This record gives sequence, C-alpha cells and structure tokens, in this order.
Amino acid sequence: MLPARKLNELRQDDFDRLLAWLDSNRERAAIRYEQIRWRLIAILASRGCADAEELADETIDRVSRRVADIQATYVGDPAIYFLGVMNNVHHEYLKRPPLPRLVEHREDVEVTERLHHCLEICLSKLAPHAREIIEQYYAEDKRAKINLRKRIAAKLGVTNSNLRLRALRIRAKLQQCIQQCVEVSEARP
Amino acid sequence: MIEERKSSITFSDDAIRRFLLRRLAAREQSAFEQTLMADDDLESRVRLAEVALADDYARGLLTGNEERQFRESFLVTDERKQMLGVSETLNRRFRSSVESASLIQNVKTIFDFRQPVWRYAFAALILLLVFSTVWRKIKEQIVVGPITPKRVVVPKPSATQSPIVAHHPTTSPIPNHVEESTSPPDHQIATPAVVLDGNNSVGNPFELKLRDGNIDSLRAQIVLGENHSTSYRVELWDSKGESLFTINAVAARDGKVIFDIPSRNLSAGEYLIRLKAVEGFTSEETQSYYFRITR
Repeated sequence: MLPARKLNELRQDDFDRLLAWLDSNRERAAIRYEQIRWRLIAILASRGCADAEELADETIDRVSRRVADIQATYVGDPAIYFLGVMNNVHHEYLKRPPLPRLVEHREDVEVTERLHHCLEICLSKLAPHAREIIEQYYAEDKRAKINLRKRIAAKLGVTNSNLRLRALRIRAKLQQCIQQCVEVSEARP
Repeated sequence: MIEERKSSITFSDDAIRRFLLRRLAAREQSAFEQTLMADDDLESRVRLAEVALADDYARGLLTGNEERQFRESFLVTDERKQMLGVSETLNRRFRSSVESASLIQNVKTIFDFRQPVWRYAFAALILLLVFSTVWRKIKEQIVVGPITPKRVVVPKPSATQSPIVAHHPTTSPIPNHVEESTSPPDHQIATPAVVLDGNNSVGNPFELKLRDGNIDSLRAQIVLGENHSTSYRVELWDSKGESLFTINAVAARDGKVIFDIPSRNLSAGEYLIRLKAVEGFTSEETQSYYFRITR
C-alpha cells in the first residue's frame, strides 16, 4: 500500500485525534487507519474512479476535521462513517469537469530494474517451502495449470484450493515486501 | 479463493472478482461496500483476489472483456500497477526456468508405470497375446486338420498273452508262403556284360551278341582265382594284335575285377583281355581272358 498522505498536509492535532478515535492504542490505530484508507481506495476504484487514492485522502482529511465534533456522539464502527463521507466526496468528484490525464510511461527502465532488484531481495527472504510454492505457481502455463497444481497440492498434502490460497498469501506478502523495498530505494538519493 | 469465515460468506469469490472489475449490480455494490468497510476477513479476501486477478492478467488467463475491464477499472491505483508489474516479473522469471523441468516432469508422469492406466494397458496386452495365441492354434487346426491324416491309435500290446497266441490261433495250420515271380523291369538300353573267368581261353572264348544300336560300353567282370592280387593293369587287344584299350590300375574286390570297355568301335570278332597284377609299380603276373563279339 502506498503511504497515506503526509502528516504535514494534515493538521497534526486533527490527525492525532483521528488516530485516537480509531483506537486508543496508537500502533493499532495506525494499522486501522491504513486499513480504512485501503478499503476506501478499493471501493472508489470499483466505482471506476480514476483518482481513487486522491479521493480517499480527501475523505480522510474531511473526517479528521470532523472527529472533534462527532467523537462524543457517534455510535458504531468509525469505518462506516468514512464510507458516508467518501460517498459525498465521490459525488462531488463526479460533478467536476474531467481533467486531461497525463500519458503514462509504464516501461520505465529504472522502475523495472528497481522492481527486479527488490523481487530478488524479497524472494531470498522467503522460507524455502514458500519460495518453492511461488516458483511452481508462477511456472505453470495454461496447459499445465491443472496438472501442475495437482502435483504441488499432492506433494504438500493439501487440496488445490488450499494451495491457491497459500500461494496467494505468500504472493501478497511478497507484494508487501517489494512495495516497502521500492519505497526505500526510491527515497534514497 | 475459499470462503472461510462466517462474516464474508455472503460474498462469493466470483462476487469479489466482479467487484474488482466493476461488474457488480448497484444494490450488490452497495452491500459489498458496507461489508468491506467493516469486515476484516472480506478485506483479506479482496486483497488476495487483487493479486490473483493481476496474476491471471499477466498470464493471459482473462477473457477479452475481462482484460478490457481490468485495464479500465482495476489498474487505477499505483499500488495495483505495481502489483501487475510484480506478477509479470514473477511470471517471466519462473516460467522459463521451470518450463524444461515441467516438460521432463510431464514425460515422467506419462511414463509412470505405477499409474493404474499402465496396469490396465499391460493387462490388456497380456490378454491380447493369450487370445491371439489361442486364435492362431484354432485357426491352424482348421486349416491343417483336413490335410493331415488321422493318426491310427495302435492298441498297446497286452502282457497277458504271447504274441503268437494273440495273433495266430494255434489250431490253424501255418499258411503257405506263396511268392509270385516278378520279372525284372525292361531296360531300354541295357549295358551288356562280359563275364570271364579262367575257363575262357583261346579255344573257349566268352561269346557276346550285340544288337544293333548305340551301345557305348561293355561291362567286363573277371572272376579271379585264389591268391589274386589287389590291383590289376587291364589291356584289351584285338585279333590283329592291336592294343585297343588300357586301364593302369583296377582294384580287385570280392575276387572280381570289374571295369567298363568302350564298345562303340568294337566290331564282331575275337578279343583278348590281359590282366597284369600290380604290386606297387611292378607287374608280377599276367592272365589272359578271351571273348567273342557277334552281331
């Protein structure tokens, strides 16, 4: 997940209040914050919003500013409150005239190289059996898909669907690791 | 993906995928959003579904319509774009390296004789061999049976009676053996024979009548007396004293010397055969035999 909007763009006291509202424990509150942001982005994306991340941050800004007012009276899961605010933000967004989009350069050599480098680092951090699952999982092609999955599943003593779930979980962890690695390498001069 | 938890049981994997591809109906979308905001398990499933979708796109497993929706509705955040980048990189990295290993594994799987299919194949092969052998035998009997004569089973001899008692009643007289004389077959061209012994002297020559025809040789048989030699030189002389024919060594067998004389040029008249006993290279004894040819 990409980092949420930088703290200096929010008023520090608003942000602290927001975290305190989400959870009394600051660490758990930070996790909760990231969860809510991710969910907002996912929902906005599924609505076809091209600026999902931007609208999610806008939503969080608005909620942060209102926490002081609602904190005492609001009953229920704070995440649902975010959803309500997000609906308004999205509604406003749809009324805006569409902005011209920048042409993207996907095949950035530097980005690709960084990705490869981070992939190697993250693969080396995987446990041997996890790495084997990932290797086999990505080695399959259309034709060999069923046979290969059956073989791996039989080897590990799990069902096909369990194997897929395992592979996806490892893959998700790998994604997280790569993301962090890329962020760190991007931050370097 | 597996619907493992109670709270997210209402949304199938397919619904999650449709949510990501912006294909949920409006009511379903609203319910999904509400649940997603409050449900940690559904969030986990959606996260995994995102990865799976990116992987499937990278592998080309999506339909044309799904691919278009993926590009337009899914790839809208930097995180997801990066996710697709990782999927593509993982695919490129591992597929090529394991492709050959996978091929070998496939071959091994096909020729894994422990598989039941091979057992059935071998059983079928054995049955086929047995049936073909049996069928061949039957066919052989059908073809050969009428041709080969039936074997006559001879009864085993019984030890209770002697062969004479068993086959020849003792009361009946022994049947007389009647032998019919059979004449020897006629030869178209028989070789005439001159049979000579010590009696055939000048005054008592062996007489041989030759019929007209092409007779190439005469068979001469000379009966030797006692104490004869093992080998003889043969000479044929005519009445004018001319030597007509000579054989250097003829072996004596059973007291006889047998040899052939070219007879094409022999005319009617008297002839002399001289036998000279040969011991090594020395002629030791000479005997004369006379015969006469008439036409």
